[in-house]
Amino acid sequence: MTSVKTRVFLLAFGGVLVLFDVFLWLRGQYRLAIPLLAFCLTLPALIVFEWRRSGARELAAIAVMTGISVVGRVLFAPLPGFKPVSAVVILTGLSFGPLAGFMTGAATALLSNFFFGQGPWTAFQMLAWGAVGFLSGLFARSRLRRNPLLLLLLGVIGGALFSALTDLWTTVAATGTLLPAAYLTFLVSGLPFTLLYAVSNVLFLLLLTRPILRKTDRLKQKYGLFA
Amino acid sequence: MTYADRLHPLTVFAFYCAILVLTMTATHPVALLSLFVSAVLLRAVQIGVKRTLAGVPIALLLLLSVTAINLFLVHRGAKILFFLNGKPITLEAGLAGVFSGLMILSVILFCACMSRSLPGDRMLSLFKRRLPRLALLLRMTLGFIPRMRTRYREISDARGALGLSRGRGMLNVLRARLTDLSILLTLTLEESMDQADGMRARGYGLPGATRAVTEPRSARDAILSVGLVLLLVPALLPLFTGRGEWNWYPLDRSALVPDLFLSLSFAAGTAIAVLPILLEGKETLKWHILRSRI
Repeated sequence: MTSVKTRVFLLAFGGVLVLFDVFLWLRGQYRLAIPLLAFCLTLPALIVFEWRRSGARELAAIAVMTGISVVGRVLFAPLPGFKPVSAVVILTGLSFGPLAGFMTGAATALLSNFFFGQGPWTAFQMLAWGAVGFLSGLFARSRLRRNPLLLLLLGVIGGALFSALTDLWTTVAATGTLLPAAYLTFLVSGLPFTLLYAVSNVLFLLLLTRPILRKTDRLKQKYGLFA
Repeated sequence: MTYADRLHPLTVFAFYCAILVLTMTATHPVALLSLFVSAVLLRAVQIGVKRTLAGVPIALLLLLSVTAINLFLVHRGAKILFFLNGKPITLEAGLAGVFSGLMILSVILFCACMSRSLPGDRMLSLFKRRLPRLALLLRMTLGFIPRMRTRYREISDARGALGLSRGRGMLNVLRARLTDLSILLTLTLEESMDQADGMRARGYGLPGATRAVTEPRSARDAILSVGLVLLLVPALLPLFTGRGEWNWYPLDRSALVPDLFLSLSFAAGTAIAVLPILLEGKETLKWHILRSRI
């Protein structure tokens, strides 16, 4: 259980960060304001995860899914843009719900960047993967869960979101502003990569959905996880 | 053991956060240049001159591409170099690009230095106090990763030896790898449940738990923190007052030489970045002297 003191501290910390971000935004300091905004957007989920009462088994299950996606990212490191991370995150969301999906995505970005290099882009990757995990988690109890069309859609959204957010960082880092023309140029020039992300997500989902969902469903049933 | 290892992680983290905020909000070329030089020096102190210089080609590539992006996408500025498709290519945009490139390089370098001064586990211990569940999750995962990588190799070796993952072509290789990954998931998920039960048996989640303090604070931390705050106030003044904000469009050459207020502020900002160089450099120097005597 989180104590009142810790709760007040976290809320105050988040509040100060948001205020600082607004200030930077008004000053036109987009280079810092935008990565900070991305980080601020991940904060609510992190805090809710902290405050939710859930057991050690749930924690362990999320840790394993995160581990799998980090290992997957490292394993496929030689192939640029071709990573099973989004697929694993989407499947975690579909199995364990929105919060677990978000945490797996965000934690994967944070931890795998210990291997690939941390930087302001970590915030965008955390947000992109977290958001796609959260979105998938909304369908965890839905009958559409194994619908190939839904999986296709989630894979494409995952790829597009990742590109859109990381290009946001490239734009603001390179030009210091949010010039729409520059952002558009990056999006268009990054289109082959976006396509590769989307296609690889769909391919990985195609190959991984059946085995992973079978395992997580069995786990949920056997241990009564995320009930 | 570097100097940063002997400090409380929060002190190190605060220093790097301050440096990164200063770098990412710096607009004046003098400030950007001095921060860039400090970043290169700090990296050189940490990993050696030779390995730092090995990064020059990729850094140049980044610098060139950022400059090109600005040249061809930003059409503001008075000094027109030439026209391309009827759009002006200006000197100001090029210069802005060069300094944007330097800023990005400094951020990348400082981030690399930060991961070296504050490796994963020490970074995690930062939010152990206020976000214990998150810290535990990340720590558990960090524990899983090396085990999983070893186990993955065992699985793929075993399956390879049994002839189960043979087959040519991209799709077959991919399918074999994903099957290995899937087997890895089965094994670790089941194992992690045992680990979770072990945690519960040892009292995880019971009320009244206390925290183990593994990172003691020393007087050094106190001194450095006070110093950081004292330097940070003047260093952040331009950001908060809006004075001395550099503008490439239009370019005002007379503003290139900072006035006294800005000079002092830049000096304070650079001092924050130089302090780690001195502290780490002292250790490196000492190490070399001691080693050569043995």
